[in-house]
Amino acid sequence: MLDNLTSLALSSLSSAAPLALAALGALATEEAGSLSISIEGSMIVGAFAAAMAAQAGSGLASGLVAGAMAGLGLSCLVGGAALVLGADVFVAGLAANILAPGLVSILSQAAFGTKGVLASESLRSGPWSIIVALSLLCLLLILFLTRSVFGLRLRASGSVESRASGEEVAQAAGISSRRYRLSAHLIAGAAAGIAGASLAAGVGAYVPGMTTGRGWIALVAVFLGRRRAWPVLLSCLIFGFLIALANLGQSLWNWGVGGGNAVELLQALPYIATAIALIAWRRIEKAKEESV
Amino acid sequence: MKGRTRARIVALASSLAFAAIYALVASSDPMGALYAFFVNPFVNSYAFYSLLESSASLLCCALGAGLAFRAGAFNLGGEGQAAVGTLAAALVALGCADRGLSGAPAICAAIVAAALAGGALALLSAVAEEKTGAQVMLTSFLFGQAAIIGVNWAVGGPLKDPSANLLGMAAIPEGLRLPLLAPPSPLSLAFPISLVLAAAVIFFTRGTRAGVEQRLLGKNRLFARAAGISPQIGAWSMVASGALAGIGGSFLVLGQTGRAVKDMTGGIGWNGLAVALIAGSDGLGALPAALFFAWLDSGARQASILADLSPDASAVMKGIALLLITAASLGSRSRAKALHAKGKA
Amino acid sequence: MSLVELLSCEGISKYFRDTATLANDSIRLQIAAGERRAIVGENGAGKSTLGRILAGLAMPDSGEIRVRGAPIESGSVRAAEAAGIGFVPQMSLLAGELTAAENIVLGREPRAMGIFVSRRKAYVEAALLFQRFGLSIDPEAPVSSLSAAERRGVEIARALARGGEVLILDEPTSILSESESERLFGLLGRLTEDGKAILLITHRLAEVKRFADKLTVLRQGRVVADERVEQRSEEELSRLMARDVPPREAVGKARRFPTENASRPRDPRLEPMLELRDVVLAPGAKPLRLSVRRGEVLGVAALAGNGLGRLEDYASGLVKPRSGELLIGGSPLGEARRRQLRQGLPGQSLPKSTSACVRFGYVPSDREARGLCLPASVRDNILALRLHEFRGRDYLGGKLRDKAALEAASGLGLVAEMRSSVASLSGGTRQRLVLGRELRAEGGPGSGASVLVLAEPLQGLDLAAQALVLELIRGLADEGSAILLLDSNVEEIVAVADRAVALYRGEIAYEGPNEGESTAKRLMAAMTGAAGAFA
Repeated sequence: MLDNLTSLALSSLSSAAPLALAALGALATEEAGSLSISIEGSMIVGAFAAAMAAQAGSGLASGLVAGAMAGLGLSCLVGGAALVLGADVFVAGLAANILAPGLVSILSQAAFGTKGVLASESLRSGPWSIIVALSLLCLLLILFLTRSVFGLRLRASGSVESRASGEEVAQAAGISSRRYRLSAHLIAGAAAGIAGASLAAGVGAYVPGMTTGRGWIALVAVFLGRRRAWPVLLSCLIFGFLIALANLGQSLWNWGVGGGNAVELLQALPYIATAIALIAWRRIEKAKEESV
Repeated sequence: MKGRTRARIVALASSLAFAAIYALVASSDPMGALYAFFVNPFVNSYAFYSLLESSASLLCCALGAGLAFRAGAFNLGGEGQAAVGTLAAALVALGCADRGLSGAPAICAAIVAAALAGGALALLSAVAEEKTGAQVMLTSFLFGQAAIIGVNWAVGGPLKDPSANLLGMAAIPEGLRLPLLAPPSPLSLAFPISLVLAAAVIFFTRGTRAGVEQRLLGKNRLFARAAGISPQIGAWSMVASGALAGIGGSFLVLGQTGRAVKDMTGGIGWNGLAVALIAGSDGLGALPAALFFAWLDSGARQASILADLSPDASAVMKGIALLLITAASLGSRSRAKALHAKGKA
Repeated sequence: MSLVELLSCEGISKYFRDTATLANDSIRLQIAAGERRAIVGENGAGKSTLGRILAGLAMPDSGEIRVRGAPIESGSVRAAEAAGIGFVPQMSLLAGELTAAENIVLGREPRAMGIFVSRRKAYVEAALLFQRFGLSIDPEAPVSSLSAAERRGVEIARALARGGEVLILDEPTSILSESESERLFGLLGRLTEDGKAILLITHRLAEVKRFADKLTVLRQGRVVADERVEQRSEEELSRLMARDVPPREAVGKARRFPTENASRPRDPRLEPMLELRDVVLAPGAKPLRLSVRRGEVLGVAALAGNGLGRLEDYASGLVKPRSGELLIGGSPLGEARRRQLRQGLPGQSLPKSTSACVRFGYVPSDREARGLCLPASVRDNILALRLHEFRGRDYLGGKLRDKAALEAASGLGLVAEMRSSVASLSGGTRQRLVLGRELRAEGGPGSGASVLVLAEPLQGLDLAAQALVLELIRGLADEGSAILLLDSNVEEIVAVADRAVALYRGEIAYEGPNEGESTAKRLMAAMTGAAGAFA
């Protein structure tokens, strides 16, 4: 029993760490006023890049760096299209998410002759190294966003609680909101790329579809956390727990309902819980508005 | 709008250019690969009919997404709405089979059930927005994702066909599937039906009072409210959007495949959204854009079979097109923006 | 006194495409050190735009700005600040999520360890600034929690910290109380003694008289006067500022004022068609009551920031008043009924009394936001209130609708391509479109007795069109419509109204029948808050 609990705890942290890093990156873009939804795409290319680097025999650190660069590259496309060419940032993010798996498949085929599993033994790392590395990065990112000059200007660029828009607020202070938004995109891409790389490192291979929608869960965490770093982090911990529970349940207990594995439904919980929370919050806000 | 047309052309051209570059770089026979990609889908009647069939579901989802856009709602739950559509269609079809019913009425019932299921899911978001102001964009996405998980669990779990080897429901008997129009190709009644639906949507948008209301609501909500246009048209647009996605899902099940399997929708909702975005706010663009996407998929498949390119090249091409399609304009205006930005910090 | 030219600009022009207006037209200005200059003008005269251009927040289409004779880069806040220009905007440009101190240092943050913000230094800097200017604001407080006056204080402190030479303030007292305004002017006075120049953008003439040495009058984007303040009386100034209005003689039926008005029998049995009961138009103002009867034009005059906007919101039914209610035809206006009235639908729920209302017309002051759907076609915009007429007919092709739209357009001399989008029309044409739609100049079904709320209806029109519209308004009233006219221009009101009301700080400062010239004077005085306006 105790064994199961400790393995559940470890598994939760393992699942939560990449989510948290990716979510914090997305949070940066949301705070800057140009939400990037290409998190899933960046995670995919990040995982693949790490596996690719591992083919040359490199380990965890290089893998994470490779992941960061790949994720950053993808978000360059998104940020560039949105902020330089004036494309809709949401559509651009969607485009990146459609593009990423295809791109990975093509590269995989061309470089390694397969679009399936890409084994990368040298990348494989124990859960603790990954958790520690990612947690450190999360803390650094939080520190950076909340305390640094860059973070201050970034938050000003995406201000929503003001009489004017974020662009106007930034302009009045002599700051280019565009520059900070672009940088936020790059940060988000790198963070998501590292998160994806860590997924590959966890199993020591790249498996097509291994991200299983975690990029989207990271975005959901941003909405649930309502633009604040610590609530976002907490949401990721909860979601990580749910994922771990689902995995554990699948292997350990067969909670069958007429032959089906009910723990699969647990994966829907983050979405449903967030929907309920959002609706409930809006309901409360609306009631407040009307009573004033 | 010259800038926008130019952006569209550049986006589509870049998309095609990628194919050319990819073929040059990765293939031992670039010309052959490009031929296989661009021409083969039309040369071979089997491939051509497959192309048309695969565009049917896509078109429905795209019509739905477009309807919602025009009313000012961003329906991101298309994938989930299509998924519940597949489940509803399969359940009704199998239910009819159990009772010994078959033929046109039963097939209609299955399609209608799918529409109702998709519409109901979308209705949840519409109601949430009306009552609480929670954004449709967020709730439709969340409900949609949850629905996909739910449907996949059901199809691969309690509703799974015990006798079959795959994760799916029982096969739907011939009499309850959409009749094939040109066997052995997969072309079924789905394609003509989708064309009829497209015509209906275009008619609605351009020729009816509600279409005008929808347009005004989507383009300037405050104006619409001030003019006394009821916001209900927005909610109904959302429901119709879900219903169309549901119908798109039903085609997947009632077509040649003939059964509901796990992960049946395979991205059709997202692709439908992408098609709607590329088609623009005019309903007329949906059919060409859907055919374009179907052509890319077909071409990529042909190129992977006949030449040595990857079938996933189409995903990259779609991504490139989508990335650039909403660019304000590529060229003069971005330069002006850059110059203006230089005046700041 | 040394007349060191501190700030000057030449040939400043700015055209806004989305509202199709020429906001600034070759403006030339020269400000000396230690000078107190007021820039005055009506709403839409271009004062704010000029202020923003000088401060680097907007890029002029042409023209040059110089500080101490040297040209500075336009469109750049950094360049303006470096040259010593500070700006206090009308609408707060502070970041609500950040603290007061963070907003003060934003863009010039004191650093700790190179990349972090030194919160201590920021706090100290802000605290010192606030103390120097007598502001009791907590530097650590998030700006979103501050009151409007406190926000204004932070903006002023920030502008002074950055721009050392010239301070531009855009309507600074609009949210301040009398005593707070006094303190502000005291502060500004001290600054000029130190050699700074103050540029005060305002429409409150009393303030101009009290504070400024020189003034520049803007009208429709152009400078029309540039002189010392003592040379002109308030009345002369307000005439200078006013938009060109057709002389009363040119407005046909209006010519019969005031004599016809005085002798018109009033039927006391007629219930008011539009009534606002116990609504509050400004924080702290007394609840007021307004009513408009059938066949009557009630003109309400007020300067910006005195409650006219909120009155428009309530009277149009778009915003539910927090206290009080809006009654149309004697019964409260719910959202469903409002929609019916707007779309001219025959409603079974309408009371069958003499004040039964057939339709509700609304010409908004914010034309682009409420009165038009810019991306939509001209035809769709014109027929937006007549959607039900074509029910069951006229499908693809839309020939019937095209014809109807053309007819409607001709009523007000509108010439435009029906299928093109409204965004391509000029400001004046857009206004004609809105007026044509709401006033139903061409007659036809459903254009009968109605309630009309018209806010700044003559904006963007040339003289001839203005005369036409004023006649139309008078004509509609004679046919039995109840018309509420909200206008910041007194002449326009006096040209058509039966009764006139002036608002000041959200309360009724004057109310009475329209007797022409004398009413105009009284309205003007009451609007600007001059004492003894109730004579």
